[in-house]
Amino acid sequence: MNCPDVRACLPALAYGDLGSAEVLKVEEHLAGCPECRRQWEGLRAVRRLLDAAPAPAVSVDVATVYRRAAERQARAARRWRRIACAACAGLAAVVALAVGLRLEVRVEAQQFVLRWGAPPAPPALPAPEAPIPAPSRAPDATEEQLRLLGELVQALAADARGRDDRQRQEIEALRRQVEEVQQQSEDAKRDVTALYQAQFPSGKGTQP
Amino acid sequence: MHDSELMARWRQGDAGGFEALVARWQGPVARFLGRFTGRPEVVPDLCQEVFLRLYHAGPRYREAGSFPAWLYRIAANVARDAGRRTRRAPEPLADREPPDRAAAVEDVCRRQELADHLRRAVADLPEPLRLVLVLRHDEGLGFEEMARLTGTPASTLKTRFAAALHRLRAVLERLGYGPEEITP
Repeated sequence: MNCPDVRACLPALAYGDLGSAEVLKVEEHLAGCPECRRQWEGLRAVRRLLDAAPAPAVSVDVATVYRRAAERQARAARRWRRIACAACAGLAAVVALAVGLRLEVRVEAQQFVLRWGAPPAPPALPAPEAPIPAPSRAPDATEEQLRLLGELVQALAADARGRDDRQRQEIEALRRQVEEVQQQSEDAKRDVTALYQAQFPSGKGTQP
Repeated sequence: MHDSELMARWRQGDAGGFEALVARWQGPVARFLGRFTGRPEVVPDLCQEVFLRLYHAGPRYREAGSFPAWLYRIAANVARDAGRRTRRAPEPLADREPPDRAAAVEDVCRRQELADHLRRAVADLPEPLRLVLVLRHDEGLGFEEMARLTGTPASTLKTRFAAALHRLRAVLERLGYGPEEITP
């Protein structure tokens, strides 16, 4: 073994951590190497000093351990109570806010809905089948609307009658014109016949 | 009674199990804390804190684990938390004047001074080296058990342990304490 290898083994040798074969090799080297032997003596001296160092005399007060443990547990319990109270107060505030704002939170497919304020008007439900209630006196506003509707209907009806009259008159005029034209046609026919008979008293010509 | 049996008694509601564990382990825990922090004056309070945390953590103890490793893990965390609360500027030993070899030094004072030097040298070690040194030297834990406690491979812990011892040796030599002068 060379010096670096031996010096690396010296602490283990000082504490009995070397195997017997290695111990022999190291001791053989130390017998012939003054510097390694000096380091070996120095390490042995350090161990002697460490062995001789007095350990502090301590007596643990078990009662104090129990008392401090109880105090620590009481502090932890108070801390958790404070945390629980704060959490409850926070939750109550959130609930009050949600109720006050009429908050609506809903998770739907592919979207998160957060709505506040008055809820939307519910969809109109079909009127259930029920007997026709007896007519009752409508309020004034309804009567006014009904009166207006009645007047509008009457106006529309009058307008329709007027148009009908005008159309009847036009038709009548057209009928009279047709009669006049027919009369004129009859007169013309009579005149032509008279002329023919005057021209051809024997009736030998072509009748018109 | 084995530690696991005492734990079982305690978890079944027998306070005597917990008190027996305290009586058994308060010395090793105090020794560990004293070496690990390098501050003997804070050891009683830290020791009390270790067993208070043990009391709270008792329901989480797994029977398949090693009780000493679990306990030392709690102690190391307590020591680290205390170190974070009160940062101590380490005294660089290299700046200290080596003792006057020519002066006549009483044997007791010399030994006390040597012990103080060693205590400060251990406290000034990086925490990973300090932890493995304390667990191996003071508590006698094997490297495999330490590996389970720290989550670090055993080979790495062996390397750190060797580095810690060599550092202490080098520091004491720099202070003028040769091997022949280091006699407790």
